[in-house]
Amino acid sequence: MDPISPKRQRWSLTAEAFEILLARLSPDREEAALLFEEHRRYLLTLLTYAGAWDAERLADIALDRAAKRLGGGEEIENLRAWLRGAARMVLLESHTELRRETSAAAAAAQSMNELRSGAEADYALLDECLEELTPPNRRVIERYYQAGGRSLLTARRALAEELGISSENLRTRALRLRKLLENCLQKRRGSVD
Amino acid sequence: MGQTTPERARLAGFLLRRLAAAESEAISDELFRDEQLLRELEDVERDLLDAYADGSLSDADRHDVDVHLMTSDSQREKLRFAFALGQTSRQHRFSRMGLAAAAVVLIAAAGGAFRIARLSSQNQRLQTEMAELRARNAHDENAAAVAYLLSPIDRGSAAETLDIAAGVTLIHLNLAVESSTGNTAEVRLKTAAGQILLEQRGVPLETIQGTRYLSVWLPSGALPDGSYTVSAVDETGRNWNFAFRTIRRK
Repeated sequence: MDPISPKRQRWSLTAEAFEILLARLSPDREEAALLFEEHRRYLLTLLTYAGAWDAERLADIALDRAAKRLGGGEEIENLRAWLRGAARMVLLESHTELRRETSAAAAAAQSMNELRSGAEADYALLDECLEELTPPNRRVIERYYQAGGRSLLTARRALAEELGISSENLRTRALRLRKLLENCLQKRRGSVD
Repeated sequence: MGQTTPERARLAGFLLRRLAAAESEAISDELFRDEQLLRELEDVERDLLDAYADGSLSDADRHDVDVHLMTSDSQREKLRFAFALGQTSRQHRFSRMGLAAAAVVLIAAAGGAFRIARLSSQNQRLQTEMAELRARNAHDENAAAVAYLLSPIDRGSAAETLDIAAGVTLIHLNLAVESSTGNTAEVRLKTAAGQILLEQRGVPLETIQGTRYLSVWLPSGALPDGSYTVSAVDETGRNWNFAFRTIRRK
């Protein structure tokens, strides 16, 4: 078992481990890559919510361990469940604190300025993505995210009434559209870079 | 973050590391067993990040999001998207509305009856329309704007009838909001069918001779004969509802 050392440099999944996992996920390489990304994103979110401050490193360690198991000829029936268990183990091993220090907040605030600048760069690309939606869907997403603060719930309730659907259905629809926009933005960023 | 259910508030507390250790640990344990719980937390996190992006999170909440959730590139990517989506949605919404949605406009004319206060750069159509009206009014001795006073219908007032003479180009609605202790309000004007004609945030409350008002200006053409409702909510959460109908004299 690989030791989790706080002094260790940034971890990255080895190329060999990556190939082993892809082969396990799907014979179609493109599909396998998408599934791999999906599993990794799941682990990142899980570890973040569970309090890991270095979720990316720990997620890659969990994936590496899965690859080592598979590379050694062992079968993993339910990969997602196995990865969940591995993530839990690496988290415990890292003795991660649940609260970061104040200095970390200062560092986060600094990177927030960069993040806002990045968001501004996204506006034009996201505009193009919005134009790709059908007009009714575009109006839904614009109105769903246009209101803010106290009037947010009131505005969304009013929108659901206008559309003749429940608030829950509206939420599901907005979430589906949001994910379409997220994927579109990622693709457009990739073609710009 | 606005109104939320107790369960969602609890999950938000978990994400922001505000729950007691035992409760937090229980949720954390459950997280490693139940994928549905993770999806619920993702939903709560989305609301937190949307509120962060539109500036409605408290300083304390924003700090805790920075410290506990912005801990990796993929997490920061979520917030970056929330910023982009919120801003893009608002810009698209404003540019598609037929009327000003983000500013109060007063027009200066000969005799000093009006003045320009602030104009949203996001609504080109309004800019053009108001500029034309301003040019016309600058040489028109007769006031082309008419002011109406509306009282809230839930304070016992009936719907007002606004008699609009021919030639009136601007309508000035004064909404009486006597008991407001706020400084600004959000105002929404709708047709009887529920279509939103006007949506303004940050409308300043004015006090004239001891009475508090919200001022809303509209081009006259925006209100053809018909019935309308107006709702106003100040930043303390108090709300008022108004109703009126317009009749144009030929």
